[in-house]
Amino acid sequence: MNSITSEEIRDFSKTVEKIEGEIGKKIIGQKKVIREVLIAIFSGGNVLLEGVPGLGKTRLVRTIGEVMDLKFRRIQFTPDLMPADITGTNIVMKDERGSRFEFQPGPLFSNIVLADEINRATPKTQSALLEAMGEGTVTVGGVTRKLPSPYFVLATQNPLEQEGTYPLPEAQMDRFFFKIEVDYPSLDELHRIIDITTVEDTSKTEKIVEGDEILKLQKVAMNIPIAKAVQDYALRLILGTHPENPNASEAAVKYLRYGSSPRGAQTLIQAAKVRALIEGRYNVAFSDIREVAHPALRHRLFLNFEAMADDINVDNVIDEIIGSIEE
Amino acid sequence: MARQASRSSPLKRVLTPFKRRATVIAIVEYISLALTLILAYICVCMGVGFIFPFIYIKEWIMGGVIAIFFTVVLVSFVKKPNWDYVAKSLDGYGLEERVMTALELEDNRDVYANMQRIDTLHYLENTSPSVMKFNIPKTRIQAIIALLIIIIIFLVLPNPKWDFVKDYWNMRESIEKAAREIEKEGKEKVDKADELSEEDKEEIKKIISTLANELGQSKDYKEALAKISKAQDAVDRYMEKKSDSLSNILENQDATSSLGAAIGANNSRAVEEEMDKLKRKIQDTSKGDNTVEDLNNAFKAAAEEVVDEKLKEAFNNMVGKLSDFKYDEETVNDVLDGLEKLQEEIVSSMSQRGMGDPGDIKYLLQNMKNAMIGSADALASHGGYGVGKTPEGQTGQGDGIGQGTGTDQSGGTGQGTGTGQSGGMGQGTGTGQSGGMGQGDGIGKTGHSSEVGESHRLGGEAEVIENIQGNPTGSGNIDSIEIEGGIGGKVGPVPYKKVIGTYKRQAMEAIDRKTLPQGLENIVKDYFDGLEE
Repeated sequence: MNSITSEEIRDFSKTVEKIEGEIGKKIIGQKKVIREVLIAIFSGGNVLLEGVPGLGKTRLVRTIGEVMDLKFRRIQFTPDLMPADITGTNIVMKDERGSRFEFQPGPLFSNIVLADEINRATPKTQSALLEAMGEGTVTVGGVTRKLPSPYFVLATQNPLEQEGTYPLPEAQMDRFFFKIEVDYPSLDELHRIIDITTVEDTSKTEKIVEGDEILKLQKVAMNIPIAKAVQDYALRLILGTHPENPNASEAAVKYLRYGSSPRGAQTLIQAAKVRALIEGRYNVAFSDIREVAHPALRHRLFLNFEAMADDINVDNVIDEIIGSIEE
Repeated sequence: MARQASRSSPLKRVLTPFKRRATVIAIVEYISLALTLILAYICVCMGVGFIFPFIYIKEWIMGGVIAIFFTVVLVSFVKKPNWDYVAKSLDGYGLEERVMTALELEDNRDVYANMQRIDTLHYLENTSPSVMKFNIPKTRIQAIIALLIIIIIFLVLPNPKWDFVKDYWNMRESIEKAAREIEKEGKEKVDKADELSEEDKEEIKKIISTLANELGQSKDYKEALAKISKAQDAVDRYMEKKSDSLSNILENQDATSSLGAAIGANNSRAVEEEMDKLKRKIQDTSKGDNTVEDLNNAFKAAAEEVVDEKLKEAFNNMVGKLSDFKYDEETVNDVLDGLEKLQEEIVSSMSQRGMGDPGDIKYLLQNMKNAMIGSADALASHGGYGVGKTPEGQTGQGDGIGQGTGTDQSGGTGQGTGTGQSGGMGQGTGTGQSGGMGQGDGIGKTGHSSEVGESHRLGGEAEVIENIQGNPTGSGNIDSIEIEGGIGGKVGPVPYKKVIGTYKRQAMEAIDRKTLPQGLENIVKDYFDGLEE
């Protein structure tokens, strides 16, 4: 903490602004998605992007990798994808000295991993991601290998095609820092998308930050102060998602099976800190908590049958809970 | 030290104008809250006043308003804006929790805290305290307007219970006025009463003062009347006590001990017998014995003590005669005449025992009572205060005047009046004052209670006149009257002094009850006053 200077704190928002500017060269619109992905990255978290195909999810992740000068790997998840295919495996190597087993790293060994259509792989393969996402390590053949740092998994999933998919189990969902919904672009944005993608792509993105700088920026964001009242608000919000809690909101009681885990509270606070810093503020505000509540909680709250019957989605419930908790 | 440092910190200095502003806003909000509560309270009181006769509505409203006001002041003092409140309020005006975080980090000197503080100060310096707005909830303003309208409606609508309340307060006012009058007039009358000693005057003034104080605290006529009756009794008791003192003085003297005992027993026949004995002693006295001297001493002591002017004069007259006693026939006869006059005065005094009216105080008190009874009747006539207060089936007590006829023990018939307490229905039983000892049923005036109660006659019971003597003159002044037919009683004339007290009292009561035709009251009063002279 002593190594952090006021200049580094002050420069945080400028750096993020630059990154957003560079990403904006390749990604038209989706500013909210970009902001949320960057918040997750500077919080050191993994992201689950949900959206129909063709919205630029892969392009976004690739661009982030370029702007941040990080090693990027994309894994297309399919039902026949095996864990070894992503973690790597020991293979027999023959040379003049004879035959021996040598570890061949899989695509997880990079800084940014795009797990495309993660819900198409079997749970076995999905679970192989757990250790990488949670611990930043991979264990193959009894040997644990550390993944490069910084390390982010950005997974995507298609909400429409549910046939032949394997929904992510709750435990794995909880390991994602944010679940971000990627929406359709507006007409204006579509025009601009067509303008730059149907001609030769001459735009070049600059590298703004490197791996070490990202780690430093993560550290800077982590120590942003938060007032007790604001922290209390965030925690009441989390408790408000628990249907069994006496202070739970009406919506939580009516539509939720389970509420958020304490990891949800950690996410809420950490993401709010990063957002405050990006906004050029040196303290967390109630608005920061509210802004990050949806991506931080939407994959941590589990709707019951009544919600489905009433056509209520989790974002509606989060809105209701936010509305019921006083600052 | 840390606290002092905090107080003078740049952040607090910058925040001070905001705190002042927040305090003003809080005061205005608490005033609006107090106003709402007060108006609501007044509405409730007035609403209750429409359903029940709310006699103390003004006092309740004033008390409630004061209680609410001070409670709100107390709450506002306890919950006055502190730094945290100011910070939260300011953050709500777009400072995004900068101030509350800066306050929490006030003593923190790390790089984050410093940057946050600088950022907050920068924002505060560019923010005017006027950004903090007065925020009285709309619902409260609506409530205040609605309550004001309701109060105006309550004020405009005729309240059927209000007449009752006004009557009550008129009654209180009249009682208080009566108390003031009694005190003023009573004391004046006592001061003018020459027949009373200074000690007597002080004692009666004390009774009057006590009555005036107690009357002022009376809640209704019933209570006031009871207090006046109590004062009348106190005057009676005092006068009786004074009469008793004469018998004590005489009893303590050897020459008059038997006479004192007879007076103490209120036995007029015994008094006459003792006086006869004294006359015989005077006739039989001779130089050398102490009869005259002892008698003189006894009468001298009695003259100093008695209140009644005529009795005092009779005793003094006897003292003068006995001082100049010369043991000859002329002086003996002179002394015997004096003793005869003294006997008449003693018997007369005994007949008025406890019935005397020093300075017309009892007359004044009775007048007050009558006035109050009249007011109570007027109040009761339009369904006023006190009617129906006693649950049905219970015994109630009220004030009224009874009048009745009765048969005395000696077979004679009498007619008398008595002031007593009767039931609210007006039916009462009263012991009438008669020439004999009478008791009879009488009709009482409407009282305050709906129940039948027992009536009590004002004053003591009538004396049984057993031995009536006198000399009818046939024409001119009547010195005695003749009563016939009393069982066990003697037929014959009665000295008017023996009965004048009784008749005067009856006449005064008749005046008080207003049973005499208008304009004749003074004539009757003057007549009896003249007889006493």
